[in-house]
Amino acid sequence: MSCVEIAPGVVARAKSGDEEAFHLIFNRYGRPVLSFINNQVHNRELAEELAQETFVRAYRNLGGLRDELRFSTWLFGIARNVVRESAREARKEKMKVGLDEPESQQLESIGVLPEGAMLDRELVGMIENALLALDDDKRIVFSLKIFHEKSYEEISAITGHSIGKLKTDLHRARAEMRKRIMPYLAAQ
Amino acid sequence: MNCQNCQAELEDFLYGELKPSRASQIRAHLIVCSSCSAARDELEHEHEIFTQYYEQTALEPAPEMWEAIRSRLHTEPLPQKRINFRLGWGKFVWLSRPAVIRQTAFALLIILLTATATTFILRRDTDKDRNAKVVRDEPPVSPSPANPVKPVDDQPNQANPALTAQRGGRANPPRVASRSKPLTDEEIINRQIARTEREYQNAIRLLDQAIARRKDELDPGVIKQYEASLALIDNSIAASRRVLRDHPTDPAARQFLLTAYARKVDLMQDIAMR
Repeated sequence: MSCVEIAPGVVARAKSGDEEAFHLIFNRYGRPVLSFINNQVHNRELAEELAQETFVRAYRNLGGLRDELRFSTWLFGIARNVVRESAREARKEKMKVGLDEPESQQLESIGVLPEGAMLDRELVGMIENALLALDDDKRIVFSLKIFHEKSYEEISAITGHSIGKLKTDLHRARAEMRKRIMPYLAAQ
Repeated sequence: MNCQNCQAELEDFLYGELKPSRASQIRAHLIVCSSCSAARDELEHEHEIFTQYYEQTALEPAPEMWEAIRSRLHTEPLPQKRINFRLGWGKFVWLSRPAVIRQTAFALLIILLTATATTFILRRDTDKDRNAKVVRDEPPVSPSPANPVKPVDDQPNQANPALTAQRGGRANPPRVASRSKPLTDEEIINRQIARTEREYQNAIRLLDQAIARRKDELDPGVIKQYEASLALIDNSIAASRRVLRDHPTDPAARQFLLTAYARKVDLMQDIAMR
C-alpha cells in the first residue's frame, strides 16, 4: 500500500532520458497515482486521463527534481496540481465532474470490487460516499496518510499546507468517516 | 501520561509520527490503561478497514495507459516554456513568477518615490533660483545688529593662507580637485533624471519579458487594448524627450517624462499581474 521509494538510480536514469527507466517508474507508481487521483475525482476515465498527464509532466520536468530520494512526494505533488487544474477547468466550463453528484458517485462506487473481496460492497460504497463527503483538503490528507502512508512532512510538501492544518484536517476527516461507517460496523 | 494526552496523540502514535521518547510513554500507558488500549484497538480496526478498502478499490493502470503516455512523449510538442528555453528564453521564465512580479512592483514603488523626490527637488531648486534672482536684483542688505556680517577669519571654511601663517599654523595645501569643474545644479538634476529614466527602462524591460511569457494566456482583446495604450504612452515619452532636448532645463518637460514612464510601468504591471 505504501509508496516505497524507487531506487534513486532508476530516477537518475530516467532523468537522463532513459525511457525504459521511466517505464519502471510508471510500473511502480502507476497504481498509487491513479488511485490517488481517482479518490479525488471519482471518475475512472478522467482519473486515467489525469494520471497520464501527471506522468507526461513528470517526465518532462524530471530535470527540475532536486532530491531523487523524494521522487514519490514530487510525483504526488504533480498529480495534485493536475487534479486541481482539472477541477478549475471543469468549474470554468460548468461541466462538473461529479464530486457533488451523488448519482454518478453511486454508479462508480459499485463495479470496482473484485470477486472474493474482503469487505462487502455495501461497506465499500459507504466508505466511498464518506470519502466523497469530505471537503477537498480533508480528502487529500486522508488519502495520502491512510492509503499512501505518507508522513506529515511529505503531505505538507505535496499540498503546501502546514503540518498543524494537516493534523487537524486528518483528525476531522477520520472523525467524519467514523461517524458514517460506524453505524454499519456496529450493526454487523 | 494521562488518558487525555494519550488519546489526543493516539492517531499520531499509530502513524509513527511521534518522537521515540513520546511513543515509549504512550506504549507504557497503553499497557496499563484498558480504556486507552480499547481506543487504540478501535483505531487500528478502522485503519484495517480503510486499508482493505484501498487494496480492493485501488485502480490498476491498464497496459494501454503506458502506451498512451509513451506516444504523448514522442508526438506532442513540448510545452511553450520548454520551446522558449531552447530558443534561449528559458532563463527568463523566472520573471513570470508571482514573487518576481511582487519584487518588481516593490522596485517600481521605490523608483516612483525617487522620481517624486526628484520632481520635488527640481521644483524647490527652481523656486530657490527665482528667489536668488529677486535677491540679486534688490539692493544689498547693510549690516545691522540683527543681521551681522561675520569677519573673514571667523569663517572656518574660507582658509586664508596668509592669516593662518600669521597665527603660526600651517596652511592647508590646496586640494587637488578630482574633477576639473564641479557639477552644476543643473548637471546634478540631469544626472538624477537620467538615472531614474534608466531605472524605469530596466523595470520596463523586466515587465516586458514577464508579459511576453504570459501573452498566450491573456485574452487577445486585452492584449490589443494594452498594445494601443502602450503606443499612446510611448508617444508621450517620445514627445517629452523631444521637448527636453530642446529645453533641457524645463521642469515641466522633466515631470512629463517621468509621469509618462510611471504610467507605462503601471499599465505593464497591471497586465503582468493579471
